Amino acid sequence: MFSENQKISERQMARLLIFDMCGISTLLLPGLLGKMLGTDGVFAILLGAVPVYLFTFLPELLQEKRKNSNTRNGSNTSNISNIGKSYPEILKKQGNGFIRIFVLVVYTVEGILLAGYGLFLLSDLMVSELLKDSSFVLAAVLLMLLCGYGIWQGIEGRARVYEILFWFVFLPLILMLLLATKDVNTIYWTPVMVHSWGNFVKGTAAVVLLYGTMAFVLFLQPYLAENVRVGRTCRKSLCVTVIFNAAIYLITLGIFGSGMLPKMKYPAITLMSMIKLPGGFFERQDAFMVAIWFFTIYAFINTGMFYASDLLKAVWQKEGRQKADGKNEAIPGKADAKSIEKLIIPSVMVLTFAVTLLFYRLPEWKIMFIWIQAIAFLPLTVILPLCIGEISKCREKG
Amino acid sequence: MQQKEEKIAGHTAKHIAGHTAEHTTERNAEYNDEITTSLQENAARFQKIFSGCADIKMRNMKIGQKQQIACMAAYIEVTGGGAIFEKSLVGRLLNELCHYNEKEVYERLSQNALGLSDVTPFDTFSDAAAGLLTGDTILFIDGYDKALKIPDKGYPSMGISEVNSEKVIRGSNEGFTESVKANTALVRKRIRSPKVKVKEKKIGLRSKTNVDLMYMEDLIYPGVLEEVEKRLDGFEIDGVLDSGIIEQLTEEKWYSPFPQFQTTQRPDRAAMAILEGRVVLIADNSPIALILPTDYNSFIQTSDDYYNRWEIASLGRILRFLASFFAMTLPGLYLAVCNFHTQILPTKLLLSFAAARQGVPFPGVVEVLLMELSFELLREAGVRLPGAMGNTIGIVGGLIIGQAAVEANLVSPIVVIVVAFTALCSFAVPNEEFATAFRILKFFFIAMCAWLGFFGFLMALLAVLIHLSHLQSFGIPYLMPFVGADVTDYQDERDSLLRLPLYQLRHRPVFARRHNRLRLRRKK
Repeated sequence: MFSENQKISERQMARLLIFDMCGISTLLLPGLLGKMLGTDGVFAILLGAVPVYLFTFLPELLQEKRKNSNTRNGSNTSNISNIGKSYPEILKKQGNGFIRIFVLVVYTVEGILLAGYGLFLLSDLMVSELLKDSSFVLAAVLLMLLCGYGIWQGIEGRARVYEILFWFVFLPLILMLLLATKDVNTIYWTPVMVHSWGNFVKGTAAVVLLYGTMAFVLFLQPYLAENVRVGRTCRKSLCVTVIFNAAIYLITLGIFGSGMLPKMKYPAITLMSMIKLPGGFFERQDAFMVAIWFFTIYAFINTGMFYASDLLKAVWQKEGRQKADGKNEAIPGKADAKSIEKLIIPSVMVLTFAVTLLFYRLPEWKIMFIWIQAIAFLPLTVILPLCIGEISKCREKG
Repeated sequence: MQQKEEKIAGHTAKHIAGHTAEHTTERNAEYNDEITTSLQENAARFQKIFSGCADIKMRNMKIGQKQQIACMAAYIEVTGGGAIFEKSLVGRLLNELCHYNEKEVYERLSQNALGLSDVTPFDTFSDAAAGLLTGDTILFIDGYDKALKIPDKGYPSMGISEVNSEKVIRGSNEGFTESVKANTALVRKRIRSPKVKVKEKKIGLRSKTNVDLMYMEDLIYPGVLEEVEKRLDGFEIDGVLDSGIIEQLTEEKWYSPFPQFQTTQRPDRAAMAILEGRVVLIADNSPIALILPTDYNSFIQTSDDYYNRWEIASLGRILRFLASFFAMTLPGLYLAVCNFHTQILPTKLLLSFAAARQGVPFPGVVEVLLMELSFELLREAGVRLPGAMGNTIGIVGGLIIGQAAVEANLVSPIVVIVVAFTALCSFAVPNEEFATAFRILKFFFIAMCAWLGFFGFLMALLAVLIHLSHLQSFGIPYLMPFVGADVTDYQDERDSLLRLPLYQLRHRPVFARRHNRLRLRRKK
């Protein structure tokens, strides 16, 4: 009747992306960049956003391409966004089953790794800030179950959660940041441009890595409502995220200085514990403000798990079967979703939990994860779609 | 295992199908005979159908100029009878028929020229029996092969009275009665348009309860009525004694504590819902109408939100939204702060909390549960007791027991304040069923916060939010217009947390047909 179409609007997409990118980056970047770049950290935030900004043209390009191909085929031209073809569908059209499976598996693994890392981080945050002396594993299990419940509701349900939470999360954050500005000492922001280029590159790479969930926009296409402008929405979300990151970095740097900042585990949380609310009803509000990172990192985990399960469904799916169920062709794996979902979602949950435990028990694996991200995944997210685009262009020419 | 389950399922399905078919055939054989011209035969048949029913009266009479035509009036003792020959329609009809000779009587009967608009002829015994059970009188006339249904006093019911819940400061005080016909009339009185349609259904194999679906023909969203009917036809039940039974049998997610139908006792609320393009379901014998589809926002609204100025209405709305949140979370938050995160409170407040708890032998969670359960008990007792005594229970419970419990060091005064404030919040939610959802979830929050502190609170909040974000009422997202408001170009947001000035609410909400949403415009 009215909804239940598993499509999300432009506003929902924007908020989804902001939640995905803001959580981990606002929590980790001040500490990371403080350590690597000190007063120059803010430039890394701006520089790191550039490649991600350029990447946003890729899904837009794919969208345009689909629009043109549909115009040529005489189908509905008013629909500029989703004509019912996903990235996996495009891959399938290439006819090379190996490339398709390879790409899907790469992204599935990436989704699980990201979700596992997010789960590790959130459980750690909860245990260190809210549940002192409690079990990390208990926190991780409960969070994983909640994430499983979240992805079980599909993308529409997920998008609605973030749409409604948006102002409840970001209004208090903005208010707290405004209150914190009075304690900022601008002397701590100087001197600038004193760090090596090597550190700049590292810092910029860290920023790009933390905005990595943007790569999954390629798979969001089938879930978007008709009038969604993908590229514009991605860029808008990126700008909001960069503004938040830059503001938090400058405020934490201005309050703690480049000497103290690198020593803090989560500078943004420490900042929240120091801000005094007018009226004095609350002595400290860090316990309340942790909610911001709880919701945003939950969104990050959810995104990883959602795409992992969605792509796993697409890998699982046999081609013939998908063609038979033509009406669900747009959404990977939706054809026999119900039967496969029962198996796939719990599997993804278990895998995510395993990754979290790995990071918890063997911290050196975290470093390996970051290396995998920097060396393998980031280039792949750009190179693969471009290569596939080129192959498809060549095929079209004849 | 699966095979076994399938076998059992198959057997059950066969059993049900067999039972239903058997039941229907039996019923057909018994009642579906056509009425004959012989009064003796008809009377015997009808008496057999109602054998053993002491409340059904059948009286033999004579009509016609020379009293030569035998007839029989059948009625339920209370619904007819007393005034039968004096003032009632039956009395007037029988008197009328006494003025004609035999030939004229049959002529008038066959031409339906009795001068009475409400008389309905029936061909079969099943229809006649159903007619009798609606509270009307059935007249069999010798030589005439139809039974006449003549409206009489009808079943006894309460008259129109003031609504008990959903009280408003401004606006009508009329409430629904227990008669479906009176209720539909109360709604129609408010919207005098031929486009208001009423679809009648009978639900309940044995109770045959009349259920009316009221809607505005050109406003209702396509497919909604069909979906409602599909769900109503999707079950067979012995009897429907209240609209609550229909609500439970037709809702999509039985496990959700949140109601997926809006209920109202107010005809003006129902009329407003119809003007918004929604369907109102009225069941006989129930003073509570169901409104569908619905959403969170509708439950927070009251009728007088639209009768009062926008500032007052908006303030009321904000208070109710906050009340719904605190009715669910406050005791849990108290536990989280006092047991896990005392650092957030200023030292003075913390010390006063600690002093208040001095001497209380129970942990915080037991204290809160004790008070919450006592409060729920008082509430239950207050509802079951007659009006005046119910109030007394409130005073006894709230003042005397609360005071005594504090003095006996069973609970701390802070907990009494928290529980009382939570209760206040739950009373501020205008819909009883909706408020109940928060009352139930309150215990979930208490458990989570007592176990995991603020982390538990966040987990519980997110779980409720995920549930709500997926919940729908006939396809409408429950959290409209806070989510997916782009569907209506964000028009619905004008009538949500804030109620903007009435002249700005130019469009009907999402429930209405997409291209027929304009409801207000200025005349040039």
